[in-house]
Amino acid sequence: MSKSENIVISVKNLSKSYGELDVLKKIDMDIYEGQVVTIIGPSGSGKSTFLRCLNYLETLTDGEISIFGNTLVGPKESKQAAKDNEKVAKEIRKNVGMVFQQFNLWPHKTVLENVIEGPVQIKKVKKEEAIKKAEELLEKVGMKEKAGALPTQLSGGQQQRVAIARALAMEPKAILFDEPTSALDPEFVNEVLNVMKELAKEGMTMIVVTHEMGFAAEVSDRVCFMDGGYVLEDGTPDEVFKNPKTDRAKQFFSKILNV
Amino acid sequence: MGTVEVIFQYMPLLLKGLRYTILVSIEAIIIALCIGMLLTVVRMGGNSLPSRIVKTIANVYISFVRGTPVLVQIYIIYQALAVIGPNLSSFTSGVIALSLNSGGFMAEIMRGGITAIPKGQIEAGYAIGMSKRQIWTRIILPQVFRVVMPQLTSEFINVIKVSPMLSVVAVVELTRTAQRLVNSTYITIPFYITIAIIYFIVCALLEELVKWQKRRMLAK
Repeated sequence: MSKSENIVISVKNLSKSYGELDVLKKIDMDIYEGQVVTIIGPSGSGKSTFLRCLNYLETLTDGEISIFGNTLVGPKESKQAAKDNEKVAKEIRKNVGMVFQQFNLWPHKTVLENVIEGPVQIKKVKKEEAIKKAEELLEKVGMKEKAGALPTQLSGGQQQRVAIARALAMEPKAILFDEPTSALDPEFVNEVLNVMKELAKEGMTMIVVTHEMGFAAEVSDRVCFMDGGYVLEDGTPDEVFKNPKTDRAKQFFSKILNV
Repeated sequence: MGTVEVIFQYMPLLLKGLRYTILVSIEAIIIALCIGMLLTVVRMGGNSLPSRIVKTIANVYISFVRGTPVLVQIYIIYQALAVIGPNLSSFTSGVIALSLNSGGFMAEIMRGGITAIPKGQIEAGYAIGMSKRQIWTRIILPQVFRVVMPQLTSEFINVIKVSPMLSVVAVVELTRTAQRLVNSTYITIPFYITIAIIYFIVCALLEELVKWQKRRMLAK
């Protein structure tokens, strides 16, 4: 089930609570280099929260996350400890890109400026170099003609492709996709999925929270089914879709797949 | 002499009053912007005890400024400054009173502008590794001024329109000048209409200036 023996993301005993509400309950997961993992499950199952913990957009209540050798540790109550996690998070974010459901492009910047922002401001790449690279990436996602446009002038699908280019511009070793097609009109879903398929083929490590079961079945090496803060199923697409072990997963698939 | 001639005869005096109106307003607006930004930064601070205390003070201050008459505030500042001791001109204490007042309103406007920026844009900044400072300078502030410019313009205009109240603490600005002229010439309505027109022109010009500036920013 793995493309490589290298574990690049290791989650141990991860829990996340908001006050009384436990959203993630003792999750363990190892992700290998080049693996495409899709995380599926009903709304409120903790999928997005799990993804957001990985690059520390959410703090950890308990457990540990190691990504490319940088380790976040929860719980963090002391100020110093929280600062340590912030530092680690910065390193993790250099290696791990993120693509959001709502694209989250910066509306005061053009497409090109959105893409070069990270390399120029964070990696201190020279602007000319960054522009050259950005143009290549925009070409790759089919958005080169719109380099000078503002995000508001683009369709959802186009914005999301730019957002992917923006993530790629940081030359990440892995990308997190948080429901990248959920906010799109149906006609624009495929253009985004195609870009993602291309990335998967190139060997990018990807963790994709999605409701696109077709994508999960076709592209991913591994499917995780989450519900109620637990990972209930974890296996190849065939294993999970065709022979789910848990009743909860069977029930979920019977509702969304006409099988 | 006809009324019109009298008004033209005294026009230099009115313009001198206008000069004070403009000076007091510009100074107050600039200081108020600084106060507004300071209050905004303070109110966006963290959750540690010191920053919570400062935040509470800022909130009380803003509520006070918004919840009491400007005229009363002007009296308080003028008298308080006189008691505290520094020998300030009525012009200076007028500027201070207006700035303290307008700063509270501007802080509220700026906070509105900041909360109008979707959280996702800020997360996208963090996700590529931006620091808090970069989030502010690269994402939030460049957008805030664009968002709040219309409301800030109204507040600038408001400062000009509130400035006649400084006449109660002997700042001889445009309205006070007109009052004096009314007392000495017994010509009332024409003088007041004249200064109304002058105020209108100044405010309209200010509005145009801001619009022009905005167009320039967008063109960039």
